[in-house]
Amino acid sequence: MTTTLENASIPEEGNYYQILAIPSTASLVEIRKAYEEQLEAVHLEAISAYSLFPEEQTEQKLLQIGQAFVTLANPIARAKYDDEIRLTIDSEQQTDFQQESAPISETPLTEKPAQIKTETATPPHKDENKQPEEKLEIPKSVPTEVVGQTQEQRQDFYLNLAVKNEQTEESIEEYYSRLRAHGGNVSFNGAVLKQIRELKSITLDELAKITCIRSTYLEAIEEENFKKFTSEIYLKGYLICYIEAMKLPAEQIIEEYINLYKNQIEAEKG
Amino acid sequence: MATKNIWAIGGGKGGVGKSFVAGNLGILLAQSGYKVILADLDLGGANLHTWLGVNSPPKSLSDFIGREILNISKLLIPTEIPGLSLISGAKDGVEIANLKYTQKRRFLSALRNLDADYIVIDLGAGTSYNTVDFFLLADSQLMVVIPEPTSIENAYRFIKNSFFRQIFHNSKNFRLKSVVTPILRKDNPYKVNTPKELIDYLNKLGGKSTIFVEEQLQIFRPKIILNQVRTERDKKVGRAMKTACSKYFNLDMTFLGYISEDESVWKSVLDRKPIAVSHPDCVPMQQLKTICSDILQEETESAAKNNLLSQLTL
Repeated sequence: MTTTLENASIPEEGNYYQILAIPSTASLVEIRKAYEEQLEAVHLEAISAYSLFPEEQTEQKLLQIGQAFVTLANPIARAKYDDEIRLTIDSEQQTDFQQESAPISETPLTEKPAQIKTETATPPHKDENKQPEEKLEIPKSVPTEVVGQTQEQRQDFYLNLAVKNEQTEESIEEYYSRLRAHGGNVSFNGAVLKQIRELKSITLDELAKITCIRSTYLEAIEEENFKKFTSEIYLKGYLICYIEAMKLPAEQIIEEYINLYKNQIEAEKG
Repeated sequence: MATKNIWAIGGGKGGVGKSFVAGNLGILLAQSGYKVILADLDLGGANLHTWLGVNSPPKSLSDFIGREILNISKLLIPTEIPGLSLISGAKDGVEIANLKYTQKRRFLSALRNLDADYIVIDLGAGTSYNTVDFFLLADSQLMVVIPEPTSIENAYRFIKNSFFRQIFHNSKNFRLKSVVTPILRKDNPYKVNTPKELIDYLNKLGGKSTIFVEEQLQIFRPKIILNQVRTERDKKVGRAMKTACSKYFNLDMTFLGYISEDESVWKSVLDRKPIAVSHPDCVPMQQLKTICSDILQEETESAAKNNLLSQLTL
């Protein structure tokens, strides 16, 4: 049995390595490139097969590749994700061995993953037999430098970001309630996104390093300068990364923000 | 006399360059030494005569349909291009838009009997029975599409309606006809939108009609020309449409190639001179030449096989 990270099947959200069509050893540069290629493929299908499938399907796909990219581009999240896949592989192999004897289906579903975790979470380091080449640490193949970032710096960026996101939870809630007091509902546009980012004291530069998206594009999102984007797919793709990095409610923002984009396109036509 | 070939150019949306492609293909064929008749069947919007710089026709198609003229050759208008003449629906009133299927067949067989090697039909926009039926009766079924969602949506609607209409005409199975007829209308009670879904639906019903539908898919071969291509990204849309057709329609569509957007095209329209004459060496014309010779080659290849469609329809 040679289940590896990239060919392990992950039922619900799919295997991120498969989604981006990259090996589990892919470097950050390769991940970034694969994400761009997937955006292009989604864009091409959205145009060339227009009207043949529901538009939500495109959005679903965008969210999926966005999630895959955001997770794999984050060294901490990636190590955790790799770990989860290994657990799935291990548990599958275990069930294979115990096919007949183990009444696994009888154990409550909620407990099952936890149980396995305690059994297998520690060994991987010493687990020479099953995964001799894979290690729990951040994959070595990720280049030490991505646009001037070392792996350690990159981890620091994420740790800083996590702290900022966490510490500002309350003030963001306050900000929302102030907005609600003014106009009823919070509706997300470029200016609101910018204010949230500033409340979190995250700079554009910082966000650019995290998302691997140039700050001019991130700025264009905040300024609603849609001309900067060659297609709706790219705008959405980058927006998803922006939202994910700042831990904001994805679905609502995408819907409201893309409506702004669509209205502008309509207005230009009419 | 050698067998005539009818090329029909459709595609659903207006303004995508159907007349541009039809007219210039006609000229290219004539310049290669063939005798060509260009038939402007954009009923209600025919204007190839202006484009070719000839006067509007003295007699109309309705005169032939109404049997006031029995010899269709009286409708031929000579053009400045040697070997090319025009039949135009320009003089016709609105009633011409509602031709019966038998009238269309009579008209097309009359066209086939004319002294010509190629008949190139410029169809109108839309997916009405008129356009779709002429499209289906042709030997080479060409569609012009531009890389924009509206055009692509219409193209798929055109493909779908043409295919279901073809099944309706070719099937002798009353039950199958009764399934296809409502699909062609707006209500679509069976939620069937593609040939693939039709096959799935028929499979559920049981019986042999799925085999028939699959055979019909084999002989339905629309070919796509991608027009007004601006960017590298646009170029990829043609192949991607081919992939989408096989994925969603189970249909092996031929992608003939793309034509770049070029200002010589609109200049030639303003000059009221066909681009094949005014700018014969511009990029779009060179691309169209390649497309033209590809169609000719494919025809020679498939001429060896039986052309099932024309056997069934004439």
